[in-house]
Amino acid sequence: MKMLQKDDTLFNQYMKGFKITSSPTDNSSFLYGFNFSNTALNSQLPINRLVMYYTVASGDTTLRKTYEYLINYATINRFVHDNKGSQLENTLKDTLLGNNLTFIQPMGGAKTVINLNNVRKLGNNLINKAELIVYVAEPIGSEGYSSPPQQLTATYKQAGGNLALIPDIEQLVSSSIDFGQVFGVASIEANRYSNIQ
Amino acid sequence: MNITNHVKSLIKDSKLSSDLYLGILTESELPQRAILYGAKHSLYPMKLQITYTKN
Repeated sequence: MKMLQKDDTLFNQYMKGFKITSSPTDNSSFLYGFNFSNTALNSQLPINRLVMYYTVASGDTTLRKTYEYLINYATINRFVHDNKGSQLENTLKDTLLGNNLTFIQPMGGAKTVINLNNVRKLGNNLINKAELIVYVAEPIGSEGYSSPPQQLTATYKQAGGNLALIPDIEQLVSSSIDFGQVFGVASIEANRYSNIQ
Repeated sequence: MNITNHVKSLIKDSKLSSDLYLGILTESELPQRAILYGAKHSLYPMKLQITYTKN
């Protein structure tokens, strides 16, 4: 055990991690979030870490030590979507219904897919601006915590099958620029996702 | 939603997938979902507005 305390590598091999779970006090469903990113911490605690407080036998006050270990966090989530009897269930069975209403869910749920193949017909022209305008089909805030999100994103499928942010969003993320200023946010008045004028 | 650079990429690269996936920022953190009007909705169809210069 003494070796584990002195060697980060040995400690990480021995200590596989902690499992953090939740259980509701009533029957309601809920989510509880942790932000383990270093940016979520303040300037006094700039690094996420596991701290082990070490004391000696009772009565002996000659030694007090704190061991700190960097942690490599992993997130494993399991979300179960129950769409039985919903409009979404019907739309998933008959995608033509998506011509009228389309759905976006987080947590690995439904996504809206738009095929843009026709824009390739503009191949001989210079593109000045392309803006996708989508309208929210319910009043914002009418569904409590399940109100529409303030910000949508757009991804495309890479050759390997992974989804990647489109360049317009990737630039904002890499530059830490607020999305709303240049990309559009949900506008309550206009009931749509649009750019701030 | 500004997708100008993505549209330019689509035109430039014929092998690039033309499917655009709309999702939610902080997809794995927030339970908020959205219902949007589809492309053929009679009043509020989603639209792609492109401004271009003829070459």
